[in-house]
Amino acid sequence: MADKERADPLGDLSDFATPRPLVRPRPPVEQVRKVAEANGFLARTPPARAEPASPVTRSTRFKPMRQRTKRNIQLNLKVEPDTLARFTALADREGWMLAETLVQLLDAYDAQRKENKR
Amino acid sequence: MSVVVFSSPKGGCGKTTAAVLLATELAERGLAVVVIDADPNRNVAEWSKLPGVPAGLTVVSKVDKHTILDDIDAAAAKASFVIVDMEGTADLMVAHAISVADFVVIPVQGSQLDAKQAWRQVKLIKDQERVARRRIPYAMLFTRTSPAIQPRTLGHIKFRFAEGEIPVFATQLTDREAYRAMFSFGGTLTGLDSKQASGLDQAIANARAYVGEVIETLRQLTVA
Repeated sequence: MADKERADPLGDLSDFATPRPLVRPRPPVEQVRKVAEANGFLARTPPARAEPASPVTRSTRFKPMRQRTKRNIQLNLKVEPDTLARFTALADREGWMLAETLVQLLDAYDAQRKENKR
Repeated sequence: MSVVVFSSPKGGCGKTTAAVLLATELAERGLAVVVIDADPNRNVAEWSKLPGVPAGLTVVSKVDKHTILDDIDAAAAKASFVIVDMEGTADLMVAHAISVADFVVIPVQGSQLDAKQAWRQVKLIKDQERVARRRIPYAMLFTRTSPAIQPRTLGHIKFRFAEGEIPVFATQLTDREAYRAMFSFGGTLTGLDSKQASGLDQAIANARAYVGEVIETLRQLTVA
């Protein structure tokens, strides 16, 4: 016998050839899960956790200072209580930071001296 | 277009072998086939990296329970057959896949351990039928059986399945070196030569008989 081709036992499969989108409706996912769990078919991967709307990072938790200064050296003074009271009262009245108040006083002093020398 | 899911919570029962045999036999006949490798061991994906994969056969891996239904839909839009190979565990993803399956194949070896897990699979299918409000067709496929003899345990399991009116493939996937060679050399059964695996002709005939039964079952389902 020569090498005669045998007929394909699976025959004509053209009836399967057309792809089509799955028309079968999906059963409710939650019910599928309940029945699966009741049968001991459990999720091995943890449920997807919803991402927070805006991730909490250092830059959003702590708003950057609105006013950046070059003040980076500490000045500690021992003063009388009255002096402190006058100093902070002036700062409050003018709406100045304490450091700013000191600069204002020094500027005022310099200006006064210049005035007096004239 | 048909979605065929291979599933059993028992590992090593022949799901991947049966799935790849079906996929390659169909793709070799010019049909567009997508295999969804839902097993994290990625055995089908690994096989598909070897040479000899028929044109028209695509493998999709990296699926999880959140994506599997979308993956099946996407595959169904472009393929004649969507073949889903599940992992051999009782995983929730199995329930999602069978909920949209046209046909579920449950491979089972002739052992009590396999039969028990196969029965768990049947019970899940039965319960999911109530959720899906439709019949989910399935059948047991005996795998790795001896081509020569039928051990008593296998005979007993067949008897019990018959008692429970559980559908069983008439063809058994016998224990063939050629099936292992397919995963070792890559490609299809017909791409192997007789030096690579003994009993190749018998394996090809066995695989075709099994694939023929799958086709016949799907045709009957379409008519019904």
